[in-house]
This record gives sequence, structure tokens and C-alpha cells, in this order.
Amino acid sequence: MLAYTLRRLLAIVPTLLVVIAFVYLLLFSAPGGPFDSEKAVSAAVLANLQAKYRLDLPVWQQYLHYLGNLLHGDLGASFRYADWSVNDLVADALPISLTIGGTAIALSLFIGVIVGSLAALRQNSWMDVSVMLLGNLGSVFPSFVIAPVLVLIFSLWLRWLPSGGWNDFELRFMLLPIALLTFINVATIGRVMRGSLVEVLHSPFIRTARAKGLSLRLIVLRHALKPALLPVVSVLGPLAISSITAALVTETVFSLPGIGRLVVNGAANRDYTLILGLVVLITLVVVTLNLIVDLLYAVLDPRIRY
Amino acid sequence: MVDLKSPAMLEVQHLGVHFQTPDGRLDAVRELSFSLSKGQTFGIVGESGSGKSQSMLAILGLLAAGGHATGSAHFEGRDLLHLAPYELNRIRGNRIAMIFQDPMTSLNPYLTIERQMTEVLEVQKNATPRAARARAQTMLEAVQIADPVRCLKGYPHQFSGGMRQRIMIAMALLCEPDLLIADEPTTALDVTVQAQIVGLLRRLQHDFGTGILMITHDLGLVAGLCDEVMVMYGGRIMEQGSAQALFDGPSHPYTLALLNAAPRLHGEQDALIAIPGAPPNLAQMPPGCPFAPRCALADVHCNLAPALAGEIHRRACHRPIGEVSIQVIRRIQAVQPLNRVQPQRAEPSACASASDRLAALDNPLLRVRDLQVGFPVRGGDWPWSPGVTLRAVRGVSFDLQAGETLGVVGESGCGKSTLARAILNLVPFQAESLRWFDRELAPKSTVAPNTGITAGITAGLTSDETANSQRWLEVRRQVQMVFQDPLASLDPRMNILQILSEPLRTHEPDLTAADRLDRVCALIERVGLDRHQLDRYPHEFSGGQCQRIGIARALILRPRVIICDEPVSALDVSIQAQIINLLRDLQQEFGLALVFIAHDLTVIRHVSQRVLVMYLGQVVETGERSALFDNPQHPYTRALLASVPVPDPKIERHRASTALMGELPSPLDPPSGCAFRTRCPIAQDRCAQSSPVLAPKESPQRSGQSQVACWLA
Amino acid sequence: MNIRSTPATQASAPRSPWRDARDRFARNRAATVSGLLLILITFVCVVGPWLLPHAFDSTDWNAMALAPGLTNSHWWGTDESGRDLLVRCLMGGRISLMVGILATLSSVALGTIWGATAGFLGGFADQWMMRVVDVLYAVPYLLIAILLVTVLGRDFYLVVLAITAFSWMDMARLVRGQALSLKRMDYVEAARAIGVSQARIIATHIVPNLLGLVVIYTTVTVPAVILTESVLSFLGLGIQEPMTSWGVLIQEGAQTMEVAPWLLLFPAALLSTTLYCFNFLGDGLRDALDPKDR
Repeated sequence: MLAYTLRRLLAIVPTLLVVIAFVYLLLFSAPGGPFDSEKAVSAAVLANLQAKYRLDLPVWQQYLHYLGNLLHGDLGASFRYADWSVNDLVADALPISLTIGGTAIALSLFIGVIVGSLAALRQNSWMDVSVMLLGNLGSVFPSFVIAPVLVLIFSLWLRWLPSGGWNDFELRFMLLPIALLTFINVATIGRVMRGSLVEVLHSPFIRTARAKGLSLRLIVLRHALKPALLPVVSVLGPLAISSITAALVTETVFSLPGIGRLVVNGAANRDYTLILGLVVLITLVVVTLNLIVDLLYAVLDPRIRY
Repeated sequence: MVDLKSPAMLEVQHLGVHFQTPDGRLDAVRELSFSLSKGQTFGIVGESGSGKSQSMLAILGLLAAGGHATGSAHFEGRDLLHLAPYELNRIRGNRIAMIFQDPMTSLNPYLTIERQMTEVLEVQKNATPRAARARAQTMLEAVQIADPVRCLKGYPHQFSGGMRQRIMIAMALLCEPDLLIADEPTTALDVTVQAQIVGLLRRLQHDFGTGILMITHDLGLVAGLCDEVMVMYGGRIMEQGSAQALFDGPSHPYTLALLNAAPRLHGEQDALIAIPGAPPNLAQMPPGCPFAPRCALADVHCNLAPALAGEIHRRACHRPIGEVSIQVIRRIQAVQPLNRVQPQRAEPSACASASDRLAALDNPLLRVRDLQVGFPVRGGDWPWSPGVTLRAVRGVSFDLQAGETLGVVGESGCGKSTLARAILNLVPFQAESLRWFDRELAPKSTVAPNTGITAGITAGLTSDETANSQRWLEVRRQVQMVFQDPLASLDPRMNILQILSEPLRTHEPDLTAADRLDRVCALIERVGLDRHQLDRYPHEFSGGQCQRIGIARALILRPRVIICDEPVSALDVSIQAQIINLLRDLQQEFGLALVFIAHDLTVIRHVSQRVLVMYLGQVVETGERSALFDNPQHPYTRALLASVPVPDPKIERHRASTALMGELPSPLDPPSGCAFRTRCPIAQDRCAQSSPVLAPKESPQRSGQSQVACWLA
Repeated sequence: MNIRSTPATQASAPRSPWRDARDRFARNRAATVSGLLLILITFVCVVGPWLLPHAFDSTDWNAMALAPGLTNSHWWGTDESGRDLLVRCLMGGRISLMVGILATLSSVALGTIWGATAGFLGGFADQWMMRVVDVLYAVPYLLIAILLVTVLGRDFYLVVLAITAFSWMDMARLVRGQALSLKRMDYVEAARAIGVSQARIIATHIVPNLLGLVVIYTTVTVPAVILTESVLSFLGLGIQEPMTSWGVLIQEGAQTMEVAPWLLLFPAALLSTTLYCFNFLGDGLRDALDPKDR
């Protein structure tokens, strides 16, 4: 198990390096890049940039310098805001995104697994059909369609919740975004869980378990659940990635000052260094998540770790 | 001996099983009635579609979704088919246990052995975890698992097939059930391991007094193990009686045909009596006796399903017993030739006489010296661990003469299939010398499944390389291959005409489409199919028919050699006989040399003139067929022959239990010296020190060329 | 039970796998209805704007923020500047569908070639080619799109390029997996034993058996691409004025949904219906071309 973990860890490093290099080069060398004469940069910002990035050096040395900064946890200086570094901006935004995203994923895993399992056990019943239908809905209606509709219903018509904004982790501002993200993910997880549990229940080893006289409850909980969870785990990776997309939309619609909004604003403002820093950060998070998914997989399936 | 008057433990009456499928109703079992006494061993024999498995699954309530059972199955007075689930669970695993065919998929790969075993005791007997563990350990010892403690902590994928089946048996016997149902328990195992498991079952039955219900297609197995045998076909019982009576004097045409369609280890070598046609399509069963479409003795009365008649020995056939004999069948079949190729004016028999063959010894078609095949495999857990080579073939040398059939036999992992692919360069190999038709050939870069094309690029693109490639192409024209899985070896998106034209397009590109069609038509009828089926697709044919297509494809270029890689292993016994007969006839007609690879010794004996026995990548013995089978020299050959079940209860019961012990060593780490020494009953120190070479063995009882690789032979 | 033991029936015509698939597909009502609906939507989007009286960018100061109704010429209402919603939806549909199809075609082409080559070559080449894919996979695709759009601009074709840049990887992985398993098939080995050349094996055995997979995942990729473009546009990073797409329309609608909910609901309904239909179509194709009981 240990060997497997270390192997996976080792695989991350080159990935990260390449991604960072790719993004860096893209941003700083492509036409229309930061130092086009058309885009005026304020003096204060320029001074910051000069200090951080050593713009006098050739590109590849700048890159190494950047990497060095990264290792110290320094994401760089903003291209637009002279007073704030990327770190500052991120430090404010990250907890918000993590809270909302993390809660949503946890909730959706919990609900999705339960609902999917129940649907699998009662195939073709009304519960199963409604799960499948909802599943389809959730994965088809884009987040940016559901979000405004939610706001329409809960904010403008029912007036139960605010239509957006943020006030220091106050619950009423968090409810709609978390609900939205949860709904989208539950759809996928429920569908995958149902499909995989149905398939596992047809396996030969389940037949053996039945031949041993075990009760249905025992068979599902002890024999079928683990293998059925495997596809769910493997879908967590892509789900995390699509959650980031959803986060972008959610934070925009609900005006939440999270990482997503930083990305959108940064792109709109052409704040290259901010974007670079954010991409690096998000990539790191995604890669770590993928690693955790891989490890979870190995925990569930003994054939992988031995 | 079982007391037949003792009350029946299991009483099955009019059992029927049917499935509702989108295509309609499918009757898997009809009118099954029998009874089983305590401690009795009962065998159910049948081919695919006979309903043997479905009937037992129905009794235990394990049918797949969409299956329904009718009738009754009384176990100690209670009808299992109408029990509440809770009560059925008290009986399943506790009083009646079942083991299945493939132990890899039948054990839960995600749970430890301990967990899977102790839960039975915890649920059925309310045992504490500690007591359950102790009992599990005891049971594992009883099935002869070497290290029970370590076994309990492990996962199924860490064990070999034989060990997994032992674990399944141990798990089934934990509660000391009255009845153990074994559904094809040894079909997925090697024959030596099968012998171990059968011996184990016999011993356990003796020690615990458990009744055994054995479901199988192998007549030899039931002959050895079962007191009472039932033969099923198309969902109905054909015949039932004591094993001795059934084998001595089968009184149903199907039983008779089955016994004569299977090749034997002893006895005459005539062509097998093939059963024409194919196993039944359960969705379109004919009214009346299911065997009638294929029965040589069928007449108009067979449209009404014959009732099961008789008391102790029952049969379902309206023909009187006296008429059901092999002579009658042969007589009838002589009048209507069935699926046997009629050779036209045959070329001089290519099965040359011994003297002719001796003369040809200097000009073998194929000459192999020291062939080695290795596959690179990751050595350890780390990316930088040095790779290890899996040596699948370790130094094999042999010749192939014109017109002969060379049988290559061995169990799984012996390298026989790899050998077949190597001599055709379908996998990379190394050899001191490989000569086809007297021309030396070097291994050519090849995009094998496990290697990359870049492996070959580094081999060099010199002019030598192109000449070599050219030579291989010519070889392929003369040497063709027939594969094990008939359906998988045909491209599902091509129709038969396209499949059969492919070799022509490759090697005779100048032919017009009309020419190709002519060639294909001529050949398709030779192999027993109809030219009007040429526009159909592989999945529309049965297994046996697909294999005929494969054979036709191999023949279309008029090769001199055909390599058959387990061509009948995937087919039912009745179909096997058809294909074996076909191959023999075609060989005679076209003067082919055959390399016939199989794991089934009876088949090898039936078709080969010379035999190569392989173990763990090496040849351990070669010889003329009769010499090798009557007088085997190498301990492994002897063990192999002793493990093959013979469909004759008298022989089977009185055979000393000489099953080969131990498991096949890992090919990644073969034993030093002689690879067989870890399981050899006569191994000595010398055997560990150096590997014996294949040396000619002169012996008064054996004639002809034979070689043995053993220090003690 | 060995269902395969059915001998061929003489009466019926030969059933090639393609024909079987077509029959299975035709039986799937949801899929066929979806397919027809999609064709209808596409047709209307292409032809509609020419038939309707209003241009998509013409402002009608007399009819601003008009609710939908059949009495006037603005059947689906207008937005705040008086632009007809129906026409704008159809024009937006043109753009969204065009982006979808173009980006899908290019990513399918790129992904298939990449994956097939990697799968068939195997060994070293395969490892490195797939490592590239793995690395690109690590970055959330939307970020790549945003990156590219930031750097390159928001020209229509650049948006297509940006979306292609990450959509090809799924296809590459799938095709490579399928190529790898096809290489191991007995009938490919049989072809090699016959002596068929590499090129012919690829052309006659591998490609036709890959086609099914490619077709299925093309119909799955199109909605994903349309969705991505819509998200980008919604965030203000996609299609620019004066062109419009469904994403842009939804964003505009979301801003005014309190007073004019139809501005949100109609384009959202169109987009969702299209995506839904593609889903059913994809499911139907998957069942038809890759049934588990075969």
C-alpha cells in the first residue's frame, strides 16, 4: 500500500511541473500577452512585477524564478491591483469556496449513495424511476440554468432567501449555492450508484452469498456495497472538476467572493498573474483530489494494492 | 453402499423452470422428478442447454431474475420452492450447500477469506468470531490447505484456481450440510488439479457422510464419484440409473451417443460417432422428445414426449431397449452420412507408412532448435525496479514431418499456446534455429499485444530484415492456424464470404472476385456448410459451425500445415466429435500436417501420431502415440494419464488415488534444475541441481522415436 | 445456457451487426423521438431567421420588454431594447449548434487519431502519448478554455479552438482503450497469422470496430461542447457582441428575470431540450451499438 501511495505521489510532480510551465509560457509568451504596448500597466504594478518576476531575465529564467517563489508559497503579484498580492486575494477567497464546495460534495456523496442504492434495490419502482429521471435532469440542465431558476423561486417569488451576496459565513447566504451544487452532483452520483449496484448484484459472488443463506441486508451491506462504490469513487475525480465549473457559475450568480469569481474577474480584467496563480492553485487541488481518489480506490479494491 | 429403502432426503417432483425473455418464454427444465437419499452421491450429466444447472439453482432459490420454478422440491418434508425467504436462508448454506464452477468469480474479491468463511457460522450457528475462526481453520486443514492461518488473512486473487476451489469446498462444509451440490466444480481447473479435488470430495464424503450432487458434462467424473447418474438433454431427463448399469448398458440413444462421441484413453481409434446437429435452442424446442432432431433412431412417435419409465433404472424413450445399441446406430449412420466429409478421389494417403516417414525424417517441414519466448514484466513495486522476464517457453526443440499430426499437450501455463504463436512469429521469440521448409527464419518485428512497435524498429530495417519479412509471408501461405474460441476468431463485422476471402486477397491478389467466390464456395461445402450462408455473419452461427468456418479459412490457401490451438476445447462433446472427424478427414484428403494443441489427453490420443508433452515451458517427453500412452516414461506424463477420468466405473473406482500433489510453480520463478521436481514423486537431489535434457530413450517396449527429459527415466 | 448454440435460420436475411444496431435503435422510442426533435430544432434554427419578420439585432422602441403572446409579431416577447426574442433564440441556436458541431468534429478527429495511434502502436509510444493526455487532464478544462480565451481573444473560431483543446482528451482515452482491446482480439491475431499487412489490419479490422464507439461518443461530446460554450458565454468570456448564443441569452435573461422571466425561460428551455435530446440519442446509440447481451 505504501509503495502504491509513493508511486502515485511521484507521478504528481512531473504533471504539476508541466502544467505550470505550459500555462506560464502560454500567458507570458503568447501574442496579446501582458507586455503588449497597447495594454497600459500602472507604474506601481510594474514596480511590483519587476521585483517579483525579474522581467529583465530571459523567459525560462523567469520561469525558474517563479517556481522558486511557488515553493515558498508565493503565488505572485497581481497584475491589476498594486496593493494586493495574489496570495492576499486567494487567502480571502479560498475558505469560502472550500466551505461551499466541500459541504456540497460531502452532502451529495451521502445522499447520492443512499438514494442510488435504494433505487437499485427497488428496480423499476416509482422510486427508481424518479431517481433516474431526476438524475437525467440534474445532469442535463446546466448549472447556470438551474441557478437563476432557483433564485427566481426562492428569492424573488417566495422571498425566503437572499438572491446573493455574502456575509461572513452566514447560513442564509450559503443555502442556495450549496443546494445547487448538491443537486447537480447527487444526480450523477445517484445514477452511477444505482447502475453499479444493479450490476454488482448480478455477480457470481453474490449468488454464492445467497447460497450461504445470508440475509439481503447482510449481502448488500457487506458484499455488494464495496464493489458498487468503486465506480462512484472513480467518478469523483471528474465530478470534482465539474464542481469547479459549477463553482464559477455559482459564485457569479450568487455574488460570492470566492475563487471562482476571482477567476472570472481575473479573466475579464486580463490579470495574467492572478490567473496563473489561480490555475496553479486549482490544478494542485485537483491533482490532490485525484490522488485521494486513487488511494480510496486502492483501499476498496485489494487487488490493486497487493 | 447406500440403502435404497431409506427415506428420501430430497424429493423433486415435476420440477419445471422457465424464463420470460423479450423473445418469449424459454423452458430450461421440464418435468424433472427424482429423489436423493442421505449420503448418496448423485451425478447429473448433460451438455449446454440441458438444464442441469438451472434445476439445482431453482431448488435453492438462486435463479436469475426472470426465472420461475414450478413443481415441488421436498427437503425433509418441506417444499423448498414455497418456503419463505427467511426459512430458505436457514437451509441454504446450512443443510444444503452449493459450490460453483469458477472459484475466482464465485468468491468475493473484496473480502478476506476469513470474513467470507466466518460469516456463515456467525449467521447460521450464532457462533462467536473466535469460535468461527477456529472452525474455519480446521476446515481449511481438512481440505489440505498448507497454511490455514495465512490463508484466512488473504484475498481470493492471491490464490491459485485449485486452492480457491478448496476454499469454496471448505466454506460449503462449515456447517456440515446434509447435501453438497457441486455445479461443474472442476471444469475451470487443470486435469491434475481436478483429480486432487475429486479425491478430496470423495474423502470428505466418506469422513462426513455428506451427500453429493455433482453436475458436470464429463462422464468420466461421474463414473468415478457417483453411485447414481442422471442424463439430461433439452431440459428433460433422458435416462437415470446406477452408474454401473448406465455405463455398462446405456439404454437411451442419447446416452449411448454421448458415450461414443467422447474420445477415450484406451480402446480403438476409429472415427468418433459424432452426433449430428447442434445443442437445442431452448426458445424453439420441438414438441416431444428434445433429442429427436438429432437421434438416429427417431421416428414419428417421438413427436410425443416419451414418459419416464422404469423403477430403479429409468429411461425416456419409446424405443424398446433391445433396439438401442451401437450396432444399430452405426448401421443407420452408414446409410445417411452425417456431417462427414466425403473425400473425392483422394490423393495418395498422406498418413504415410512408418518407412516413408523415416525417409522423410531428414526433410522435416519444421525444424525448431532451442526456442525461447519471454515477456517483460514489471519486477517490483517501484518504477525503477528492474524488469523480470516471464519465460513462457524455455528451450524447446522438435521437428514436424510432412503429413503427420503432432499433438502438443500440457496443462495451463505450460507454454503450448505460446509455442504455437512463436513458430508463426505472432509473438517475438529467440531460437538457435527455426526452419520452415528448409529455410532459416529469424524473428521479425511484430506488433504483438504486449509489445510495442518500437521494439521492432530497433531490430533494424536492413535488407536482411526485408528478406526475412518476405520469407515469413511465404511461410504464412503454407502454414495456417485455427483458434480456440470459434466466435472470437471471426471479425463480427465481416460476413463469411469476406472472412474466407481475406487470405486469398492477401496472398493471391490477382484473383478476381468471381474466382474468389468459386474457391470459397468449393471449400465451404467441404466443411459441411451451405454456400447460401456465405452472406451471413458469425454471430448467426453456432459454435461448431463457427469452428468449421475457421477451418475453412485455414484451408483456403491449400497450406501444407495447419496449427490447431485447442480447436475443440470450447465445444460440447457432441460437437467436438464432429470437428475432430472433420479435421481427420481433411488431413487425409489434403495431405496436411497438423500441429494439434490441447489440454485434453483423450482428444490428443485420438488425433495424433506423435505427441509432445510440455510442462512449464519445456518439453518433458515425446514419442509415438501408442508408445507414449501405453508406456509413459516421464513422471509427469504418468501423472497426467493417471488423472484423466475414464467413463467406466469399474476402472475409476479401483484406481489407486495417485493424484499429483502440489500446485504449478510460478513461471516467473521456476524451480531450479528440473521444473517438475517440486511435484515429482521420485525426485532426488540431482533433480534440483541441473535441468535434464531431452534424450532419446531406447526401450524394448517402445518403438520409434521417443525422448524423455528425466534423470531417472 | 449457451444461447449461441442456435443454428442459422434459413428464412431471414443476413443480420449484419449494423443492421442489428439499426433495428435496436429504431425500437428505442425515446432515442428516435430525440433524434427527430434535434433535426427539427436544427432546421428551425437555420431556416427560421430568414422566415421571420424581425432581424435579431433590430431594436423596436415601440415594443420593449414585451411579454410573449401570439397577438403581435413578437411571439416570444422582446427584451429591454425591443429585440425579438424568438429570432434571437434561433440565431443563438445557430451559433451554439455551430460551435458544438465544429468543436466536436475537430476534437473527435484529433482524439480518435491520437488514441488509435497510441493504442495500436503500444509500448513506449503509447505511454508517452497518454501521459500527455493525463497531464492535460489534470487542469480543469474550463480553466484552460478561460486561459486561452484570455490570451487569444474571443473570436468565434478561437472559442471553437479553445473548446477543442480540451475536449479531445476523452475521445483519445476511449479510442485508445478500445484499440488496445481490439489488438488482443482473436480475429486480429488470426489476420496476422494469415499474413495480412499492418495497414490492412487497421483498415479492415480495427477501424470498423472502432466506428461504433466513435459515433456514440460524438453524440455525447456535442452536448458537452455546447454546454461549455454556454458556460463561457454566461460568464461573459465566450461569444461576443454582436453575435449571440444561448449562453449569452441566458445570462441576459438571468439579469432581468425579475421583470421579464420569459427572457430567461425560453432560451433555457431551448438549450435544455437540445441537451436532453442529445442525451437520449447517445443512450439509444450506446444500447444499439454495444448491447451487453451479445
